Amino acid sequence: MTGVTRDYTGRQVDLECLQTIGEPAGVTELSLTAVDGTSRRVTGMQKVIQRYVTLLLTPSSSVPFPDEDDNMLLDALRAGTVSNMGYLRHLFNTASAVALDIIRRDDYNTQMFGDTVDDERITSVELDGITVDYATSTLGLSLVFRTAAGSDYAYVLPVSTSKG
Amino acid sequence: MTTAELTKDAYNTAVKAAVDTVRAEHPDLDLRSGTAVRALVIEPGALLDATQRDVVNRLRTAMSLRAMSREASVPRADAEAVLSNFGIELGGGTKATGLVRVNLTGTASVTVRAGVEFKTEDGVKFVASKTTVASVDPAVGEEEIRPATGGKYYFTVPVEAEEVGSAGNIRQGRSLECSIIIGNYYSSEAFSDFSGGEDGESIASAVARIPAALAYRGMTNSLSVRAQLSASLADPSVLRAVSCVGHRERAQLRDKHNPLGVAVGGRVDVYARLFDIPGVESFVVDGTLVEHDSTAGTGTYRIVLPAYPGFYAVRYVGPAEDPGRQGSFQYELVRGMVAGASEEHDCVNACETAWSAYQDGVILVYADYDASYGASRAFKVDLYWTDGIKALQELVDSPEVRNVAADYIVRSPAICLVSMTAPLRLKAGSSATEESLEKAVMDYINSRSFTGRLTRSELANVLIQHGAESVNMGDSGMRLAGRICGADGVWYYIDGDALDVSQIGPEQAMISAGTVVFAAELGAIQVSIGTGSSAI
Repeated sequence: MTGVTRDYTGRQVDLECLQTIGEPAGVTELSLTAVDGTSRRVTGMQKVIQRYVTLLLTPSSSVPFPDEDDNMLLDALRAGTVSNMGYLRHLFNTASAVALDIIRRDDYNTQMFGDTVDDERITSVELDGITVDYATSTLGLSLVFRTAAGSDYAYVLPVSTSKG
Repeated sequence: MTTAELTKDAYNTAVKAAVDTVRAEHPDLDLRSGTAVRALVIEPGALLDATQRDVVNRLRTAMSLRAMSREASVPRADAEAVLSNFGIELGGGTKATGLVRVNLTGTASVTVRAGVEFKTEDGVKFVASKTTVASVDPAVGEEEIRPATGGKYYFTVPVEAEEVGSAGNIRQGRSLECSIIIGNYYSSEAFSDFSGGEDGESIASAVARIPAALAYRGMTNSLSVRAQLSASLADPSVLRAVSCVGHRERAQLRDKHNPLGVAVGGRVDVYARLFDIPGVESFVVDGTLVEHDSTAGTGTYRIVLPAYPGFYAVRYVGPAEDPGRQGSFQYELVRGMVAGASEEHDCVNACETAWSAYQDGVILVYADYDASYGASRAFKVDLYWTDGIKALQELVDSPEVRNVAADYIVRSPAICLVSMTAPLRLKAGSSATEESLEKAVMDYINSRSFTGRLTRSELANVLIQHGAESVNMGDSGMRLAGRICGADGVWYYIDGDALDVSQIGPEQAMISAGTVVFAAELGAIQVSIGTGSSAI
C-alpha cells in the first residue's frame, strides 16, 4: 500500500494471492500480476479485493453446490459466447452481484466469522472500463471498489480468456 | 459414495464445523467465502468430512436392524449383506410375463428382436423375450399379422418384466411405449393380463425372521427348535406348528424314569404339525388269522403295519375288495416300539414311542370269517400319516444339531378330529353357500396351532365373518365334538361348548395342550342354511 498509515494489528488475515494494491487519491488505475510464489499474509482492502476476485472468477462448475452461487462469467468468456461488450457488462453485473451477495452474507455472519471492519466491507463494485489484449488473450476489467469506510479503490482485473 | 450424492445441508454443516475448529485455534485467519485459506483448507476439508459423515451414516443405517425395517431407508443390497450375517436370504420374487399387442397400419413384415423394450407411461419396463418375426403369411415359428378394427393390423410379442415384482402384472389393454421404430407402427398395449410377477420378500419380513435365525443356533427353547426344524426343510412352510413338551409337563413321560418317578428334566418331545388336513395313507395289507370261531363266523386277524414313521392312528380297516369303504371292521391298534428306541431315547414302553419314528404297531382286526379265506386275508387300511417325522428325527439326532444336554424325540401331534354341525341364517345379500362356510370353518380349524382349546363361539365368529348373520347356539343349534387317539391306542371323545384337551385320559395317553392339534376332515363340518326361526 502507498500513502497509508493504518494499524492492521489484530485484523484477520488471508494468504496473499494478488500483488500489492495501491490506495489512490481519487481513482487511479493499477496494474496487477499474480503472486510470485512467495506466500505472504494479506489483510485490509487487499484481502477483500482478493476475496471478491476469487468469487467473481470461480466457474459455477467448480463449486459443490452452484445453485445459489451460480456464476457464468468465466465459463462464458472461455466458451467464446460473449459476442459484444454489452453482453460482457451484463455477465459481469450478474456475476458481481452474486459475489457481493456471498461476501455480504459472510460479513454479516459475525457469529461464525467474527466482526468485519468498515474498511473491509465493500458496498459497491463498478465496471469502469474494459480492455482487450488480443496478443495475450487477456481481458482487462477496470473495477472501482467502494467500502463502508468511504474509500474508493481501483483495480484492473486481468482475465485470461484461453481455456488453459 | 461420491460428492455428487452429498446434500447441501450436510456440506454446509461440515463447513461450519471446519470453520469453528480452525477459528478456535487461529482466530486471526479470515475464513469467509472467497478467501484463499477457505479455498485451500476449509472447503476441501469440509467436502471430505461431509462425505465421510455420509458414509458413516449410511453404514450405520445399513447395519441398523430398526432402520432396515423401514424399507425405503436401506438399499436392498445393503440389507442383504447384513441379513447374510444371520444366515438369512431375502426371498427373490419373480418377473411378470405376458404378450404385447403391436398395432400396425399396414401388413408389411416386421421383426422385433429379443431385448426390445416396451414400457408403461409410469416406467414399468418389459423386454421382448425372443425375436419375433411377423407377417401376413407366417412361416413356422413366425407370428401372424392379423386384421383388427379400423383398418389396423396387429401381432403379438412375448415379453418379460425387466424387474421382479407385482408391478409387472399389468392389465389387458394397458398402453405401452416401444423403444424402437417398427415399420407401420401405430401403438402397442398389453394383449392380455400379465401375470407371474411377485414382489420379493420385504426387508421388514426378513428382519422379523432374525430372532428365529439367531435362536436356531441352539436347540434350547421352542423358538429355536422350530427354527432349526424349519431351516432343514426344503419348504419351511410345511411346518405349520411346533410344540415342545419338556420338563414337568404332564405328557412328558420319559423324564420320570427313576425310582421316585419325579421329573428330572433332560427329555424333550417335539410335536411338529406338518399338515393342514390330516394326511391319510391307504394301502392293502395281508392279515394273519390269529383265531376264529367257525360257528359265529368271526375271526381275529393280525396286521403288522408297514413302516409309516410317526403315524398317528388307524382311520379305517375294511375288506380289500371294498372300494367304497362301506364294510369297515372293528379293530384295535397295538402300538409297538422299534429296536433302538430304548437305548437311543430312553423309551421304556410303546406309549413313549407314540407318533414318533421309533413307533411301530400291529392292528388286531375283528372280521367275519369263512374257511375259504385261509390263514390270511387281505385288508384295506387307512392310516393317518404325514411324511416328514423321520427326517426331522434324523436332523435332531445328527451330531451337528443334537443337543448335548437333552434328549429330543420328534413326534406327529395327536390330532383332535373335530366335527361340527351348525344351523345358521345368512346376511341379506350374502353370496355365501353351505360349501363356502364349511370350507371357512375347516380352514380355520386346520390352521390352528397347539391351542389346547377350540370353542363354539370362535367357530360361530368364523361363520359370521364369512356371511352368516346369526348362528343357532341353542339346544338345537351348533354341535361341536372331537375325538383323539391317545398314545395308549384308546380313542377319547369330547364335546360341548368348548373342546378342551388339556386334561384328557391317563398320563399314558399323552394328551395335553402341548401334544394335540385340532383338525377337520372333509365332511366333518356341516352347515345348514335356514330361513326360519330354527336357524337362529
